[in-house]
Amino acid sequence: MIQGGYFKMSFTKKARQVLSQNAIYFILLALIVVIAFISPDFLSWRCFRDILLQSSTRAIIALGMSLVLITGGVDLSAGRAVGLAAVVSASMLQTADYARRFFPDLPQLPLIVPILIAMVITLLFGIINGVAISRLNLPPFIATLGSMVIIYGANSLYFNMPPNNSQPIGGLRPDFTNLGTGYIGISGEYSIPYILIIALIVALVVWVLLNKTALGKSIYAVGGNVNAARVSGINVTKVLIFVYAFAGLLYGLAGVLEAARTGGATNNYGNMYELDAIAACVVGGVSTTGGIGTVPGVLAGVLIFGVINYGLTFIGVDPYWQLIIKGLIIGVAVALDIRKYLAKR
Amino acid sequence: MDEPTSSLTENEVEHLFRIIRDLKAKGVSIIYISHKLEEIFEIADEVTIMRDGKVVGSWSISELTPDMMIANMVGRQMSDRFPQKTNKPAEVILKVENLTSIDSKSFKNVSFELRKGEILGIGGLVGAQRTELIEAIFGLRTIKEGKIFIKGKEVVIKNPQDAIKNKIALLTEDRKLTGIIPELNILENTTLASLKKYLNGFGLLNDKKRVLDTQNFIDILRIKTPSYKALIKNLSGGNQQKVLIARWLLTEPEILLLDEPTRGIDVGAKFEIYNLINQLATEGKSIIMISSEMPELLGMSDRILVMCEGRVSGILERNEATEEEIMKLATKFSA
Repeated sequence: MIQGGYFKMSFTKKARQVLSQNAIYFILLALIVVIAFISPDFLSWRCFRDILLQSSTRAIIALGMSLVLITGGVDLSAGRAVGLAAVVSASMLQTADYARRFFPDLPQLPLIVPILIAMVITLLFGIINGVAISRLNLPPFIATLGSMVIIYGANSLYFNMPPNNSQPIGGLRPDFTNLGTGYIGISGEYSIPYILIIALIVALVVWVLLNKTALGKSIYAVGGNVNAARVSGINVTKVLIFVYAFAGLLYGLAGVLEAARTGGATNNYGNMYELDAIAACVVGGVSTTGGIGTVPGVLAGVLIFGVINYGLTFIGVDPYWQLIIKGLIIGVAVALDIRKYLAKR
Repeated sequence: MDEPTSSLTENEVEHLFRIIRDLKAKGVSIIYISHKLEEIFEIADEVTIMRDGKVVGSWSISELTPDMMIANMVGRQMSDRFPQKTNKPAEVILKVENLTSIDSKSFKNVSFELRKGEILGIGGLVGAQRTELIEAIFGLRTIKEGKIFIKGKEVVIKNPQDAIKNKIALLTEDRKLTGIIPELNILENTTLASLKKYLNGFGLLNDKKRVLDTQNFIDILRIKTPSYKALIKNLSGGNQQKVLIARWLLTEPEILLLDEPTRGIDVGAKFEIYNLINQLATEGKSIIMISSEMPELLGMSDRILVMCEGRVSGILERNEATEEEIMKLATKFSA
């Protein structure tokens, strides 16, 4: 039956509802408050900018992953796709005078060309994932486990080609690294990294996709009840292929930005990033059974891990303890989230 | 027991009732929830009626008549269980010729015609392949041979998208399995099959118009909900069904395939849905209605097509249809 009217609820009940429906944002706030209490220096734009900088590529990966999770799937190939795009883009964007060039005779390409090549490759792997899942009916876990291994193998073969022979790729062009480390200065210490702006644009695009387009509504419907979606005239195959392909494109973008940010690439870039992305999504309220998830939630989930990584190091918490705290937060966040749904039964 | 007979055949129901009587004789107390009045009168000693989440009252079974029970369930006197028919069947709109499933155990050689503004009931026992037949017409199942004509033109329907383009709608039998998207709200559930018509020049959804149309249907169909933002899983079965009917009406269909449209719905909402079906037919929409409830078939249909073991065993005109006649046809090919 219908839930009781919101206006009839007592204040405490309302407060509890607000608290439990926005648990994730309160956890984020509480974390910042606790860290700032221990070390007041934490409350500076410098610290926040660093957190945002580190979270930007993570956010792009998590946004791609969230689309996949909303359809009721999962994409284990995300991290390896990030690594592939990092290596491919870096291999074609080294300075002309660098001693160990991946392609010694490669002319200076326009910046956009290697970036697009890297993203198209991860897009193609995304399409393969989508086709395997929607046409061949492979379970997403298995299909993307396969592509995860294949992508790493392909990346390692490429990385091991002579004359590179598995040397870390360095000597990246300044115009490329600037993309990952540059920023728009506002005044004094206040500045906004390009990479953050790119992540925000991606977030906006995904938000518009999910909330303002027929395709976005179809993504929720496919994840919420695939049979009902099919009966309602939604082309489930098309939706799934799109989602895995678009996610692949975003992993590619994230990989390119990781190479630019760190000024290099190896075939191990992006290793296990898919697990961080899944954790951020889950903490951000995306249902692993599909049909539920929002962009602000995903961003908050990414930020929680960003704040933990940076903030706990800032106040000198042992890295191993950090892992335990991260694990606990995943557990607590999901338990709170499940309670939200259990309460409705 | 909560609606224990909703998917049982008549034999199985009798078997269940024997078990219930045995248990009762051994001193076991049983709470039995059902929307089927006949069952209540057959099995219950005492009846408690609920409406809108509140208890209306409790009676001993001997104090109640079916009409009293219905009146208490819907909160008003109900002179008739079915609306007065007002529709006038006109020219043939859908013609099905020799439709045969790719599955040899399913329907075969099915032919019939449906007229504009007609309500064609489909009767038969569980397993007569009625659902499979209309799902095939809707493009959800593969056909081996046979033709479908709409307004005299042959159409090929390979998937639901094709069906919707040909102005066909399908209200499925199992709301939970193939109808509602539980975690989405009423707005999203209502507009799901007609999203394309809300796109503006930029390919974005016009939410104002979506809300307006949804609110309109909430009012017309009297869907009981605090707001269009309520999740559909929090509505009662009858209200969920109304949302799904609204979903299909937004696609502006000419042919509606309704598979057990009142299954698992309380008497009040049932009557509203009967009224709606009657009104839609009166407006010139053509309706195929599968039903396992005899009174519903007899009360609503202009003609009744009866299936047995995947084949059409007969088509009865309204004036010649009786329960006995339908049962005879429904078991015609059974060994």
